Amino acid sequence: MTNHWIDYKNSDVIMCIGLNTAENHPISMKWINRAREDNGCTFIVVDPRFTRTAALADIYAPVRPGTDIAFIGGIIKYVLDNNLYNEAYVANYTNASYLVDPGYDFDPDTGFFSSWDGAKYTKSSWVYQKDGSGNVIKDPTLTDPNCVFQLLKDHYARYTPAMVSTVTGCPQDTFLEVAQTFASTGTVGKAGGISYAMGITQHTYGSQNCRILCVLQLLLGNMGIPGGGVNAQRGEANVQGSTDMGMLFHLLPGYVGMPQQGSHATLQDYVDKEVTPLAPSYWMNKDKFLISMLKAWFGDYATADNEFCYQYIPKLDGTNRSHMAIIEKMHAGEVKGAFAWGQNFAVGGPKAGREREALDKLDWLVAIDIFETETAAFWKRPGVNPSSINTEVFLLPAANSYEKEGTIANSGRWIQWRYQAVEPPGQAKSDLWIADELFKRIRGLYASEGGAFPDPILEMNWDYGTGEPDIAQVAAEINGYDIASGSLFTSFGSLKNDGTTACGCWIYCGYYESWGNPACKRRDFTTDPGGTGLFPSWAFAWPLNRRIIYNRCSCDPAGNPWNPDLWIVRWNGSSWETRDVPDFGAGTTAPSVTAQAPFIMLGPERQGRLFAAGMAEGPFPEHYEPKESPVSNALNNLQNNPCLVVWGSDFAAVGDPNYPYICSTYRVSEHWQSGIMTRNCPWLNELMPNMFVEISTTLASAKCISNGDMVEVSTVRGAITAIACVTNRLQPLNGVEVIGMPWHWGYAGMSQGPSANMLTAHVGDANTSIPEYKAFLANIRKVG
Amino acid sequence: MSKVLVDTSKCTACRGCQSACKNWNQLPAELTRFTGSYENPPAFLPYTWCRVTFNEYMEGGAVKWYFAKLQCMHCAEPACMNICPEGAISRTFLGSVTRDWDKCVGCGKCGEVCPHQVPKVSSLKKMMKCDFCYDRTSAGEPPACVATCPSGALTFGDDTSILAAASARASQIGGTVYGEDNLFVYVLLRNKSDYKIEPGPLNPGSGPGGGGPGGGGGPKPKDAGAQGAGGNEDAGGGNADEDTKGGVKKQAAAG
Repeated sequence: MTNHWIDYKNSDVIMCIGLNTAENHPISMKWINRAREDNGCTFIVVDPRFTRTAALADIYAPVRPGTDIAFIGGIIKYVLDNNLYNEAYVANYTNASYLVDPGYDFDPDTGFFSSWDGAKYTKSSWVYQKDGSGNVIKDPTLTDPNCVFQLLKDHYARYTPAMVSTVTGCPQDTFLEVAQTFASTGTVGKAGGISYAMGITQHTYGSQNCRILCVLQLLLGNMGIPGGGVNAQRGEANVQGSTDMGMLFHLLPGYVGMPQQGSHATLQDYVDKEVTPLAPSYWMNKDKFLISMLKAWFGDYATADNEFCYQYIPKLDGTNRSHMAIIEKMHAGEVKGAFAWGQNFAVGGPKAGREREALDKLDWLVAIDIFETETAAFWKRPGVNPSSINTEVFLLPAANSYEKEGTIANSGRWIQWRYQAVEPPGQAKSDLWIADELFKRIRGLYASEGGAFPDPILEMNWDYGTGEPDIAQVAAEINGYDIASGSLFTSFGSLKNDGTTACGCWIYCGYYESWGNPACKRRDFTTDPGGTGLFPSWAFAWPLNRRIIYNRCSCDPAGNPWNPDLWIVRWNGSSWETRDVPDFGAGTTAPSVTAQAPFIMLGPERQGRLFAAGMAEGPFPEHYEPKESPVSNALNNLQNNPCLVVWGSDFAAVGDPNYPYICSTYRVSEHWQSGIMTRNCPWLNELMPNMFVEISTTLASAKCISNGDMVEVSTVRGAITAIACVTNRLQPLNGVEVIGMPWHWGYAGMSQGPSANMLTAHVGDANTSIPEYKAFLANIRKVG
Repeated sequence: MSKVLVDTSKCTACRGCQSACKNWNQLPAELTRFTGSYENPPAFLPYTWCRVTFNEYMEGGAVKWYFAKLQCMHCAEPACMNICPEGAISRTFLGSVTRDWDKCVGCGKCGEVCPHQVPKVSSLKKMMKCDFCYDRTSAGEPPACVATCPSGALTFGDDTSILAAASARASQIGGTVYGEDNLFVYVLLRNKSDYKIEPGPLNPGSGPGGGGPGGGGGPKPKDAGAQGAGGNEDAGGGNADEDTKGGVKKQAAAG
């Protein structure tokens, strides 16, 4: 989230798109309800299905799964056509005025942007025009046909209300009501927030779905203001923390990019290519973050002479190492062993049948969880003969969150300490204990027996005591400290690139800044400057306890808050007054100066990107159809994202009469993720006892299905049987029927049932490889 | 006296209340089956004292979904208390209606006359129902259902503030207030029967004549559309258009 949960109360309009917030993030409704009751906030829900969230919406807009870019693109056109954007904001805080290379183009006849080389985009034309001194040429009037603003207008000219309705299935009047209502937040002093979740991300163009939300919010001046923002609601309690800590294959902790083989052969190469070019944005300090991280990891072994052990970090070799790619390599026998640590992909992974088969090919599997998951029990799953599977499985019982101490980071980037309530049962151990023991024993084996490239293991800075590791030591290492004195840092501004500082994750710097009462343990719920909901003394928000990032944008270029009644920073004529931690050089720095860099992390522009060349498939988000779709792309002549990642060829073609319906998967309030916690809780099983499939009354009638009947849903990849829920909450969209199903069930635990992911595919987003769980083709029939 | 406000316009049917009730009161789970509705269990049971109803209607061509958390209303004039032949049901100093374990013989008369179909007799021959979390509320703490509610739909407070809040909220959203004289006060957007509130006694003939709530806002049981305990209008394929149901004013689809 750019903002945070409590901040929802400050919105004049909230739009949830690709997000079932009431069911999957229940606490959000506390603040959304408060905004509605106290502010007269209008609550918009955009979803293929009328959910428990939609039940509370003021405006509900149904859309066909996978058509979010068409829907938001239509709003962008509406905003531009009717001059409803915040002109001063757009001109000063975004790259709207930047001139783009005249060679840049998008051709709706082919569906390609310029610079397509037949296999990928070279992006040679996706660049700004520069003058002889290397400075970007800008047109502050925003009228030059090559400026980003005009290119944006051109790009979305095709996204007319009629086109939006054709593509999305949303009635035109409903779409226009949404457009008009949300565009009203472009008025100075108004705030519109957009929240999203996996309904946006789990597509072959999920990153562009996110991007287009940013474009709309930049136009309306909704970024960096209270009640605004683009708010990613994370699907698990600590998934924010896991991405912060570098759990994604292309990132080190703190979103520092992994070094690439070849181009980043040396630390100096990395600095020259990944750090220096980002100046003057704050990422120009990335080398300090990286070197401090290496010092945290390798201690005295990391010296300037050995590139601070830079060569101990694995380098990306261009191979996709995301979830689906790993499973495919497992299936091919290239991956011999695996850890499934709080990870149940036999249920939660796409194309689960193949993922289960992949486990059959392993020599060994270590499953670490609080119950025996479907992944741990794959060898005795229905339909297989355990004696034919040679994988050796180790099941390590883990402590659950109440049985161990530590932090979680929530969607609002708050890092909150949680204390242990009870001891774990039996032999269950904390994840930290398991990791500590594993490391020590592996290091012992390397020390005694040697092995390939032992240095990173033998030289790792790893000493957290014996028995249950000292978690305070771990927290302090993540926070960062001065190596000579050992004193803990309060700000990443103290980090250096000379090897004198250590910090495990630079964005967390300051969260554990004292041994006695660190910031993440603070619990002051009374201090709320101006009633803004910032509560700065409750826990710690990265970075630097900043609650709303990009908050320079909450003021006009002269430093006057767009909404004086709800200011978080403001210029008083001689200095900045701050309620939130400023995201800019505050103090007495003149507003005219700080207005030059309202997005300090975006390098080198430091301004919001309406045009973003970093994306794989285009600088503007363009609508493509899901990999499997019943209709042809109406907005351009290219059916799918040309850069999507895909494995296998088991897909239904457009118009395949055997699979005429769209299927989408989701979660319910009562169960969580792959269900391994909740399906072992009888009280929750009472509420949601069985796997079910939701269909419209029209589809039910066409297929002679009654409410409560058993039905089979099939795709090219598999079939499952579940109970039908016939409801008016699903409606055909432009004649296309949508089948909805939760994905919580599997063959382990107390409540068992078929897994929706037996139907999904190994195809994913061009930028992140996130699987396309949200739209695929299926059929349905009554079986009992 | 304390009351609970149930603002159905803020309820998301997460059913945290339903499981918090079981958790605090240590009630065993029921073995249920999905029968085409999210609502489960479909009726009160000896060990299910709190449940949320799911009510799907078409209004002017647009689907709507209404939720209500139900439990013992702790009526102003409890039919159960009036009919109990053993004198086992009484009112506590909190205004809550409670059953004396030792006096109760499990005859089930209370369950027959309750307009909310709340009291159920367990295999131990004892009537079971919500006791307003006496162990909590007698110490000034909110009932477990209120304490867990994330969306702000449930509020525990003194009766004056709860009734004022109910009235203000109802006028803000164009709704009505139900059950002012009970401990659970509702803000509703449709008729009470549309939420399966007060379905009427299972055996109206067995009452001593007028067991319904007697307060100003308390409708007579016979006013409610009688539905079986399993009556379930949610998710019905045959729901078609319910515009005529309940007689409430419908809003236009695009309102």
